[in-house]
Parts: sequence; C-alpha cells; structure tokens
Amino acid sequence: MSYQNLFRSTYVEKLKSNLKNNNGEAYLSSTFRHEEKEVLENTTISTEYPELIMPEANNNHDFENAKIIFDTYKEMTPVQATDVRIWTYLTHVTYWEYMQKRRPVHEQQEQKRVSYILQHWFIENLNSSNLMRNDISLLWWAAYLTYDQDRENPYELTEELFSMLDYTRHLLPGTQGRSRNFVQALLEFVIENKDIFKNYKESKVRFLMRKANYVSGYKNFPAIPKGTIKAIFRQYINEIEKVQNSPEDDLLKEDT
Amino acid sequence: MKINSLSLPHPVLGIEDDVRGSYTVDFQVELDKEKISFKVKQNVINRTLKTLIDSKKAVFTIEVNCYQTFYRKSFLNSEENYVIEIPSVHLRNKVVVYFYITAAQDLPEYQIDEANEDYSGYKFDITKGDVLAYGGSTTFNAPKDWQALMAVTSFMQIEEYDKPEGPLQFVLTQDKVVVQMSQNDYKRYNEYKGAKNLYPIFHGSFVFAALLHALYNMNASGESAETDWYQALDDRLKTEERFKGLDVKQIEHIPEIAQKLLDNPIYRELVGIKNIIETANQEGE
Repeated sequence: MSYQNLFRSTYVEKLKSNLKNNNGEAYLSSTFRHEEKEVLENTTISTEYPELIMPEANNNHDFENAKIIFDTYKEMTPVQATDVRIWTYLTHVTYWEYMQKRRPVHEQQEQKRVSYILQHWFIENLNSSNLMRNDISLLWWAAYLTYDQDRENPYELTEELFSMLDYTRHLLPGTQGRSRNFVQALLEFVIENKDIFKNYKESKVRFLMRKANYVSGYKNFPAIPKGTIKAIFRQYINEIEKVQNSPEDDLLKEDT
Repeated sequence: MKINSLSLPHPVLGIEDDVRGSYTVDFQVELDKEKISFKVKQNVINRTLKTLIDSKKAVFTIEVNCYQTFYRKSFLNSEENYVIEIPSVHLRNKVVVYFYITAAQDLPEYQIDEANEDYSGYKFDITKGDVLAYGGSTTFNAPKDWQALMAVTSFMQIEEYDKPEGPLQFVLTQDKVVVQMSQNDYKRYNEYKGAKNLYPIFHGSFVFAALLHALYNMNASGESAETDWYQALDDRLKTEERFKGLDVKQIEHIPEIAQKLLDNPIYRELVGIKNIIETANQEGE
C-alpha cells in the first residue's frame, strides 16, 4: 500500500501552459514524461493504484472502472475529491494509457484538441460540471453519488447511471443532481419501470427532468424522501409513455 | 432552488405581497476542523404557519448547497432555535443556504391567514415538501484550510519558475495566489526566509505587490472567482468589521484593503528597516 501522489499546483499550471503552447502534441504520444520533483504525496489517502479495464470499441467499461476507482478510494472525503492536483496526476501518470484509449486525441480536429484535453485530463475551474468531465474524477464522483450500501447490489444505481451519457452530462451537474436523494430516486424509478424506459430512454428521462425542475419551483425536493419523489414521478407515467425522440433532444447529444 | 423570482401556485409568506406577516432567520456559522455548525434562530409572524409548525404539519427547512462538492441537503426541524452540524469534509468554498417553511404532510384545502385578497376564497391542495414560507438565503465560505485563515500563507505561496533570471510573476488561477520567482531570486529568498526580522520587508515588497495584483483581478473579472484564495478573501471582506465601507469593486478602495489585510505592511516594513539598521549600528560600535 502506498500513499496518493499529486502534482504541485504550479506544475498543473505549467502542464496547461505547455499544452496550449504545443497544441497538445505531447498527448499524442504513448508515454508521458513528468518531472518527479513536481510530485507530492498525500499521506491521508492510501492507494494501490489499481489497474483499470481498457476501453474497447463497443464498451468503454465506465461502470466497471467506476467500481474499481470507488472501491479503492471509498474513504476519500468529498473535499479531498475536489483536489484537482490528484485527478490531474492520475490522468497523466497512473492512467495515461487508459486515457489514450478512452480519449483518443488523434481523432480530434486539431483546432479542438486543446479544449478536449483540458476537459478530460484537467479540471479547469473547480465545479460540478468539470468534475464530471475529467475521466478519472468522473468515475469516483459518479460512484460516490449513486453507491447505496442498503441495496443488495450497492452499485445497481451506478450501473444505471453509466447506461446513458445524459445522466453524467446533464443530470449530475444540475441543481437536482447535487442531491443524492433525488439522483437515487430518479435512477430507482427508471430501474423499477424498465418497460416504460426500454425505448426513447434519453428523451423520457429529459421529459421527467423538465417536470421535476418545474415542480422544484414550489417543492423542496431535498426535504422529501425518495419514496415521495418517486410518487411524484409516477404522476407523469402516462405522459412519459407517449414520449418519443424529439429533435431538440437530438441536438443536445454529445460525444461519448 | 431559487424561488424569489417565481410566482407559486399557492400563497407563500415571504414572496412579494402574497401573505402579510414575516419569516426571519438569524444565522451564524462556526468553523471547526471537524465540523461546520450553523446556529439558527427563526421567527414566524403568521398564525396559520405557527399552528402548523406546532402541530408538526409544517417544518422549518434549511437547504444547504455546495456547488463544488455536489452537496445539497435539507435539514428539517420544528424548533425555532437549533444548531445544525455538518462534517467539514462535505463543504468547500462557497456555500449557499436557503430558508423555508415546508409542508411536513399533505394539507388538503390549505388556506393561510393574512393572504393577499387575490387569494380570497381559494383553497389549495398542498402536498408534502411544498414551500409555505421563504426566509431568503445567505452565503458563506467554507475554506479548505480553515486553521490558517488569517495568515498570509492561507492565500499565498511562493514558487520558482524555470529561468535563472527574470521578473516576478503572479498566477491567480490556483487555490492560492502563486508568487513565482526566477531560480536565482528564489534561491536568495530561501536563504533569507528563515530570518523573522525580514518578514516585514517581504510583506512590504513582493507580498504587498502580489496582493494588490490579486485584488485588482477581483475587481476586474470573474476568472478567478472559483479559486480558494478569491473566496477566502471575498468572505473576509464581507464579514470582518474592519472592511466595513470598503468595496473591492471600487478601484480606489483596493490599496486600503490590501494594507488592512497585511496589517499596515509599509509601516511595518519601514520599522523593520529601522530596526535592522539600528541593530547593525549597535554591532558596529
């Protein structure tokens, strides 16, 4: 067992500066050389730096990898998990090879390369959206928000979360997504109504979120238990069943 | 949840002139290494709401939000005065707190005393969690490094950059304001940084310059607004008595703010120089 490494904050800045100056050339290479003197150790976080499952053409293995990361870093506190220096170290050192496969930089248009790397290897400004963009931070936070030790399978909701990109891109960074109670109620509702969500799931979840946002104008969701939130969702079942893909939703789809 | 700009389906105390009366909250924050405590004192002037709270059909609801740690949780209580404790590992930097009274159960055919005449004769089917009163919101800063808030090192650090000579540089996009020195300057600084009688000289020179640069940046743009140093300074400027009447958004106030933050650095620097000279003279005699 060793302690968690992290980069010095000034080195993170230097990496960003190098990235911008060299248009991300270093991120096309199969290896990344970092400066050892720029590495610190956080002795309050132990780790074995577990291996991740390499992404494949038809499966990114995000769910399985979220389990691996969260099982390793389960004792990490939310404040520790906002340390951008840790996530930047992991994307650049421990999981460099994984990142190359998960985010193939060479497939990006040259003019978009820098912003693509900034989003996925770094955390530019610390906020919930950007914590969901860094590919290692995403694995931890997604599992943290959905792990439920009272379930027979504590990762059941995490698996549902990674079944659709929309959850991590739009649900979690939003106001409702910051409430674990709400997130878990929504995911449970989708799991418990598989038949209704077997097609047009993305549009149906978006419809439900629009309704939830409307209701949240006069109801305090964090003040009510999961069962009551799901009862509110159930009021919309007939409308949800009628939802099909809308052009507006298609426009909002993003890369995986 | 921001409701002050919405018109809700039922009358809500605290929203425009929906209901006569008041719901006020006195809120104090105490920071500790292990926990963050909120001391809450609430006062409701409305007969219907008081009766509902006394009978546990409505509850005081305090919603705590932290945008950097995915924290959003409501604390329910029927007491007017109480203390909420949250482990400090859950909150970092800007925390927003909203105050509500919400329905603790379904309330069919709800009517409220002192409602605006527009609602006269109407009854509403309230369900659990609906907002009945809004007491506004407040923000505070939950610093990561809570222990050293008052020290310069809580918002500033000194590093070297990779050239032997060159000008001082400042980086404002990190958790702390980073003062970057050339390798040779940094080496010289390290030789002297153990000498406590030189601290006032350091404060009056590059620390003061870096702080001025940071404060002007707070004035000019929001690019650094999510950094720890920005939020720590912003919180101090808003809460400490000695900054009353000073506003970082007014450019002419910035030099005074910087000098107050560093506790009169120029005076201390001059006194420091005088002491060094006098000591040298005494040793020479």
